[in-house]
Amino acid sequence: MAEKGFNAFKMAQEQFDKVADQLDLEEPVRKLLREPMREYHFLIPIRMDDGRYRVFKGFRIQHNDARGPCKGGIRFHPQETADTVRALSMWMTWKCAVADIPLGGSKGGVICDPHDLSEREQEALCRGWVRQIARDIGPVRDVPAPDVMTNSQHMLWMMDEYQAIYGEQFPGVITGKPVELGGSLGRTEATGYGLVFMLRELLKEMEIDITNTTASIEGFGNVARYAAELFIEYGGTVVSVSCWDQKDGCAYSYYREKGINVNELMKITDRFGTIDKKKAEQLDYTCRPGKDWLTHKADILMPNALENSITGENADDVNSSVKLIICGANGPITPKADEILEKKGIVVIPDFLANAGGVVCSYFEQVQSNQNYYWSKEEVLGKLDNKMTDAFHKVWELSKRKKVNIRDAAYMIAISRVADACKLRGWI
Amino acid sequence: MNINDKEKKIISTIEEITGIKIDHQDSFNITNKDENKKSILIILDEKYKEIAIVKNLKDFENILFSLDNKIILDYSKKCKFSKWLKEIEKTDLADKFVLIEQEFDDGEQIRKKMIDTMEEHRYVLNHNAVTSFQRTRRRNHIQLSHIGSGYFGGKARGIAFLVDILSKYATEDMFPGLRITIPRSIVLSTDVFDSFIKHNDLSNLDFTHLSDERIASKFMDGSMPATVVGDLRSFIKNTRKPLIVRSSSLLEDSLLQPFAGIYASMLLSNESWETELRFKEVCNSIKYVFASTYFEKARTYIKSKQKNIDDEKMAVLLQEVVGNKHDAYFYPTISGVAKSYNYYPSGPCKPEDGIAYLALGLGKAIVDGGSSYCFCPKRPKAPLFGTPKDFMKYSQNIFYALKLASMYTIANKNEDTTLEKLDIDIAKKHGVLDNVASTYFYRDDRIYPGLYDDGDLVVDFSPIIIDEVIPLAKALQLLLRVGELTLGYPVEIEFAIKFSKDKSEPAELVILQIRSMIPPDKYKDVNIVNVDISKVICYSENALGNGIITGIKDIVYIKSELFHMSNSTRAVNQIRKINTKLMDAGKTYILIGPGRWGSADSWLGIPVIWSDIAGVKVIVETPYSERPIDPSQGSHFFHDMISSQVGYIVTKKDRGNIDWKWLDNLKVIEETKDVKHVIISSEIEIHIDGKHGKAVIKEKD
Repeated sequence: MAEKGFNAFKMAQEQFDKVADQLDLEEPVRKLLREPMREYHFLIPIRMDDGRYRVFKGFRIQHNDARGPCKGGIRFHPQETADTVRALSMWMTWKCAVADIPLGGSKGGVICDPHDLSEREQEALCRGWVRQIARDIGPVRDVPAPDVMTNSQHMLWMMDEYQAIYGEQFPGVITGKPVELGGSLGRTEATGYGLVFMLRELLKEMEIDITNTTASIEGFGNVARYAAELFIEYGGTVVSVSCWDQKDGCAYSYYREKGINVNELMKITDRFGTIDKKKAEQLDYTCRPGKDWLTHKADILMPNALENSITGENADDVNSSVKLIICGANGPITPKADEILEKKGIVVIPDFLANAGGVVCSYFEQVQSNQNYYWSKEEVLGKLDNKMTDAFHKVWELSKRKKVNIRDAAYMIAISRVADACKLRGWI
Repeated sequence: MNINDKEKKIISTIEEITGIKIDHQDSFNITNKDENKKSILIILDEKYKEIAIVKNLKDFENILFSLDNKIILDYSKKCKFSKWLKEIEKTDLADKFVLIEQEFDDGEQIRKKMIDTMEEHRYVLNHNAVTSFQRTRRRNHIQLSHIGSGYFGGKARGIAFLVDILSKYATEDMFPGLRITIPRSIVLSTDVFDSFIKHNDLSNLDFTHLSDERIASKFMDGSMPATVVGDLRSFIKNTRKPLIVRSSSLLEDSLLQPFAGIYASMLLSNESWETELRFKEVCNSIKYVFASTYFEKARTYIKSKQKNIDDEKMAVLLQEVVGNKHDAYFYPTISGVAKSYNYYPSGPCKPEDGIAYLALGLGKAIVDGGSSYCFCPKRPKAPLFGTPKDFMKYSQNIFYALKLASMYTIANKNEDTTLEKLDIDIAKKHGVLDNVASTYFYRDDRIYPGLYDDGDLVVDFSPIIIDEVIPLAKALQLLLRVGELTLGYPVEIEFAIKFSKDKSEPAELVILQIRSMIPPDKYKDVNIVNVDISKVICYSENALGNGIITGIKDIVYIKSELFHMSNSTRAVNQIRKINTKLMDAGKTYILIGPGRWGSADSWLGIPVIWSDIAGVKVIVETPYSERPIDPSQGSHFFHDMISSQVGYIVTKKDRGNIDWKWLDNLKVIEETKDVKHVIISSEIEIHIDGKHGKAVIKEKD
């Protein structure tokens, strides 16, 4: 969770400002890109199961759509703030731009805790959200997707409500749908696989044989699992993963020097993502405090869980064996930590580049849905691989040419593309 | 022959054939690096006297030839060879040697096995020859690359071997006007197959109860592994030439296991402007080739080799098809097969001079045993046929081309949908006959070089063979001899020739495949001079194979007196059922019948495929027509027959006979419409003298 006093939007703006200076962007461009273009704040009244009414706050923030319809997830979270969502919508714009997909950035959600809501109440909330924002979203305007504590069922209710309002089929209005109802094959794996496709290319450039590398992963959710699976398939060894223990109320890392087995661990993980400590120890895993994921001896670190995982306080604890960090989570490394890691000579692939696989696959789902024609899994993953590879190589080439770090190079490409789109449209 | 002698022989062969002096460094040197390793192997005799010091693999291979059997056995039982190999970090070799040391108890057998393993190791891909596929950099000189990190299988290894030979010895000026090369190829290694099986949950499928179509369907439903889709897609995006997707399995085309034609190949026009469609077709083709590992034909064949289906792993070779585009078709000017040993020598040619077959268009014409031109690479101008009229009668008048506009790729009917049979007049319109055809004038009964409007076209390749517009015969001679020297066995090469539209560019001799032919055992002399021909069941002066075959009691034959070739296809089913019963009972048999066994043309012979008769030990071909064409030279069938060490006996009215009366009096086990299965109470012996091409079948004394 966010540190106290931490403002994600401020951080996002600072990152933008730095790159805007490097690009020597004109003032109007900076002003346009520094803030979201549109924000919708609304109220959703819901009749609860016990007959009472509750009013929920919902919103949708559209940062920029110069390159195409907005794209971004919908979160259900009790502590969501407008600033966090603004930051996330901005990062979505950069993410889509660096991946070179023709979409802008947005984000939204509802301030609520779905654990406290029944299924019927959640459905009502989803439909209520769509009723409030239907005029301002759509297949050619703004396409939502699942995010924190939302899932494919929520997306289907929202899609259904949108279609009920407009009286037509719009499978492309939303992504993250189940495969049976317009979802894309390969979507589940996309973020994790996309991460590893990029890692593969980076290792080639660094002339490191992937079969001789080890990785320590923070997290064991969707992104972490698929990233671990593909990394192992390529011949690498994952020595540690971590997870939140619901019972103990803290995080643990599970370490095994000869390498973890994803399927084995999944069999002992519950639906909340907690790995069974005892069973893990029986399988020769060593259970350590969650923060130890950072200090294990490994070549690669993959923060695939939360934001602010590597900060100014713990960046020095990163094991000296680590050569590179690739970020599957959003915002896992603070700017201060970035500086420390750069001084240590550790190569960092930033989140909005590394985890772009998810949004790329969402884009593929959108395209398939709009055509009402669905691709095979190998077509999706083949295209994903090529897209991630191209994105990486463009960033890498710029980073070498301009002698900047990868994060800056990625931002430079992303912001330039959006700025150029705004200019070409005649906005500025 | 030890390595140094072999290398010298190769160099002198090249110099002899090309007339060019070769300045060679250490060729086939796989071991210089090993000199730096500290481990040495000291060989002591029974009296503990030092007889050899082995510092590297080269030394090791040399001493294997010369060590006494007892010492080899002693060192093997103490695992000294495998331990030393581990010490010098040749782990793969060490693992193989451990198995040999454990399995065999005879010094000579161990030596032979170890030498074969070392040969294979050297024959195995040279890592300089096969590079990892790269998407981002265009490296046009890279002809062979791989995706994945497992084994490459027999075909790919053969290609890698060729790359190695060509890179070491072939120079631009070696054959003026002709460049020797391989088609641009990518190998998907066996770990891709393993990953496919694992991720699509196919490892527990019971294939024995599924038809081939159902197996194919299950495989086609699966998805290619995520580790390769990106590379594959990138390759397809940048490749617009027609492709062939071929199997390259572990058991296939290795030194001892030919497996030719057992697995599927898929020909793709690759013509669509949509990358996705082409990518999908290639993925589906790869999956179909994977599936063919488990088809009935493959399972039967593997069983006949006393191998387990689980031993088999499939790599896949994607190759650009060699040729040029002509209107809506794609084909090479010439396809060919060349063998370094000819079992049917004629005229001044000796078996060791080899034989080559050429055809206009795609190689299907040769592989299926159709009309093709044959000549001896060492004596290309020596006539192998009778009169021009005879030659005319049997020369090629149709050829095969790939249809570029084929809309669909139907996996199990790939050839039907992608290939078209065309008349040679169409090749004339395409302007490709200049180097391959002459004209026959009926009034003179003569064939004249060149193309004329009146007269009949004759595909005789005389501009190449007689006028030597390209030095093809010499090039083939070189490749066959060097291939044979390197492998230690006679070899067969498949190739295609492409002439550039720009006449100033050299023609290309593109080698598609190289594999070993298992020869008659040259060390066993079989003498039938003393056999009383009048008392035998069958006598032939046209036999293939070598040795004495015993232990056979069963004979399966076509009831020739009532048989008509229009029923040849019907007979296949009957033969197959009997074959299955005999194989299940663990029995081998003699198969007798008219015409060309294994012919694709049912009017020329019984169109069996190898798995229909996999239990046979001797095939006897009896006369049906007077047509004097090489029997069963259809490449795959012929190849399987040779490599399975099946005796092949041809009887002709004037040069051999068969005692039908004796056959008809034997006890009948089963009789169908066209086929009889009989059994003899004693035993049959077959003597085949491979050196003189004679054979007898008789009752055992």
